[in-house]
Amino acid sequence: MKRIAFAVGLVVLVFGVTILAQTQTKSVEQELIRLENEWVDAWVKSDVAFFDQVMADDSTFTSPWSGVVSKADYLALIKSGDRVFASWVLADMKVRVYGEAAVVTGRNAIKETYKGKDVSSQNRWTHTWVKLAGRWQCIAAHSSRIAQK
Amino acid sequence: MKRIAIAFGLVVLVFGVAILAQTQTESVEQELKKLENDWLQAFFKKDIAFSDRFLADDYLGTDEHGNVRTKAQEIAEIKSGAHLSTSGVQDNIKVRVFGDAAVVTGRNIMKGLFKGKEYRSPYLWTDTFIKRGGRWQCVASPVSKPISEQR
Repeated sequence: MKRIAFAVGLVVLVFGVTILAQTQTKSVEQELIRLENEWVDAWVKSDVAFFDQVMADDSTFTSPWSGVVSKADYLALIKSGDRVFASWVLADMKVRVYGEAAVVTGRNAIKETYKGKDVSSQNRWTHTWVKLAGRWQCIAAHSSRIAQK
Repeated sequence: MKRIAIAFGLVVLVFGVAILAQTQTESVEQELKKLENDWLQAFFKKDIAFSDRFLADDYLGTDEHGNVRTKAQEIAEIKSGAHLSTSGVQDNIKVRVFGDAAVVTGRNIMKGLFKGKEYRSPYLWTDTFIKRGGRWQCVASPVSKPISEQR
């Protein structure tokens, strides 16, 4: 009888831990999707403070246009107001969580001008996040331009 | 006297831990740089076994045209040998380690022949690694070609 109770207890514990882990992963996924949407809003509003908060100090951003840029250069570009957006649509977002790290991938369609010139594009992007000091921070962002057919 | 000895011991301990942590980070950096170079060579050698170990099962890559590739698709591409490049070198490699996660950024200069003419194409990449089961595996590898190099 004792053994059965122990086995039942163990099964309940394993289920409980699994459900808890799944719930936590779901909650991280939602938090990162929210941050990704805020990322777009912050670009449109030139909200430098948002990026200063969510980008790790040694983060890098890589794109076909910019090459590899530091956080400081990325913030300077936002501050410059050289990019003006008509629309920025996100799609196909996928979050993979690895404990205190996560990778978010997605697609975007951006209608914009850079210094007055139309540079609208569609891109695939990959953002790598790490939980530092209790909050998610982006440590690397990479954009690949989708070839126009 | 006892207090001084304890304080001295504590300082030595803190320094020891700091040196150990730095040594470990440096060793991870070297390991990941080596893995990156091995991955490039595996591409030319069509080394499927290495690619299978190097890429995590849920790996997602993005090529310079914005096409997403799973592990199976990436391995199929290597196996096909459809690429034109016959050799390549890496530079600007930078490793950042965050516990069991790491990001490596760098550039591959791919070389080959196209219509009898030698070419050199630069590709920028950002690889994310996760340590699982005691070994580093690549979970993401987006690539892009600088706009100045696109025709």
